Amino acid sequence: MKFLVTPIQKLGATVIDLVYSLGSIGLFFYRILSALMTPILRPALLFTQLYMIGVKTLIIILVSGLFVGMVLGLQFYTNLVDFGAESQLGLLVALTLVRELGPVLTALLFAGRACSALTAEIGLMRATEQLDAMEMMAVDPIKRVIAPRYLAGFISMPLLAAIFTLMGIYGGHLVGVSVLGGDSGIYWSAMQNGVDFYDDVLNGFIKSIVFGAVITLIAVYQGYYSPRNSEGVSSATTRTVVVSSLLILSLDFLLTSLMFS
Amino acid sequence: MSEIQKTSSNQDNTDLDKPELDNAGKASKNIVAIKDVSFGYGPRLVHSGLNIDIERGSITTIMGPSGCGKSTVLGFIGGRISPQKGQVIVDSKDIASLNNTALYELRKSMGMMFQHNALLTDITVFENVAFPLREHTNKTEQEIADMVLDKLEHVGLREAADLYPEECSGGMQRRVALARAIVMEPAIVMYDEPFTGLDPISKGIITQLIAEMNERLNITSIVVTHDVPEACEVSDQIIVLAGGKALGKGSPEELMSSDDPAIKQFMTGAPDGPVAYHYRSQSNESEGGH
Repeated sequence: MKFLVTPIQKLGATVIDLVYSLGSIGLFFYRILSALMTPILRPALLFTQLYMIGVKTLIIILVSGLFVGMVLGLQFYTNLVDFGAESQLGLLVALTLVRELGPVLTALLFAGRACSALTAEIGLMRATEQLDAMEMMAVDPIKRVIAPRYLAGFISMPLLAAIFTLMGIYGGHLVGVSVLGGDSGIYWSAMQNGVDFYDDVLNGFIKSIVFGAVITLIAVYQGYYSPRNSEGVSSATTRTVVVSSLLILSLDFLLTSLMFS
Repeated sequence: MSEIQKTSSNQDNTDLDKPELDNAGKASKNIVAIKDVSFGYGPRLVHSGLNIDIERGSITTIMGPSGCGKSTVLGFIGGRISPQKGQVIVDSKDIASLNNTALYELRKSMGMMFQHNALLTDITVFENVAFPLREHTNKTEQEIADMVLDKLEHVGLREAADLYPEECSGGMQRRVALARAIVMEPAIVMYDEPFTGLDPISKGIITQLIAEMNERLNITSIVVTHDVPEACEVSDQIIVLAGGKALGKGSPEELMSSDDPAIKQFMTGAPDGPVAYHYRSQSNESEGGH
């Protein structure tokens, strides 16, 4: 019987763990929402984190956006030319970036650069008793540490996605027009005629907001509850990147099917 | 030691500084009372029916072998750890009955120096010490600077104000943590292993500072340590924990001359005695296993 019972026990334990984690993260999110007035009333806390999380991620976003756009320009142009449809290059590059690659790749880069740093920083603060010290000084770490970082991540992510998209469109223009000889006017006018503000731009923006809200929550949660040792902080950081990446891709499918189907 | 009433100069915490009065209208003699407390981590029972009273204004040292739950007692007093049974009364308030707001309010009248200092690493020594003042008071920058530099002067680090914690030695970090713990001039200051890892000179300085701050600021000091000589030098009362209970209580002289073999073993650091050196799991202990 043991060979039957053990897998069932394991399945049960996994389900219980999952439900527990969901409950725990839900309560944690509620505590963050209750504490959001602190960074709003003390903007210095928010601006510091906007710099740490948003501005410091800017370089990787600018460079990645440019190269992704250049690759899109190259791939689309060489294939569209075969069908005499190179006039659609601007539209294709823009739609690909605005709807999908902008929010998704920015979120993946954001998870790797900013969220992992958030988890490691908060986890180390936990391991070195800095969060305990704050509690003993009657300072709520959720208000003082977590809420400003969460809000900064939430604000930064859509802005970075917009910058990524703009850089990508410029990269596509650089290769498709400046290097390969496409027409600049057609590149921009096709984009202007084909991209809809509400259906494309706004939906892409909503995607990036959702990604920002979810992956920043994962990052601060993993850091706050990471075990108090170096291995624990390391595992929490890895978990942040893995869970965030999977959530970004699965949520992208879900949102795309809701928005564009 | 005679009862010392808290008369803090910190005007923003005037209400907190007033000790709660008992039914007779007098401030209770004991600022901390731990009553019949039991606590364990999973199956391992750390405390079983622990009773501790700490007199207002005294320096009380909690000693005992590693893993006997000394730091856990500080966790009870600060409300960071909840006992599974029993009561923890701090300044006439039952910690378990306090909601989060009331607990944070009570913590404003406490200071704590952590074992590993727990300094905030991204701000300077000055900002670390100023941190509680900035969070809880509306003092001007000049007033904050005066208070912080006064405390740093006392711990001999006035000129280290602009350094970051990583630029300070272990002993200096310990003194910064001490300055931060007392900057709000709280009613109770808890020191978790203040002498660990320090050279003899730094140990001497910290010992002197604990005694000096206690006297000068009229605070109640609770020290958790292994170091017998330093504890004997500074304490009004020593409590020795072992086996989940307070094995002995008394002045340093009383404990040094105690006939109890367990207390004697601990105070003299003898390897053989009733306090076991080898770790025993809970199941092994109950079975009387080896």
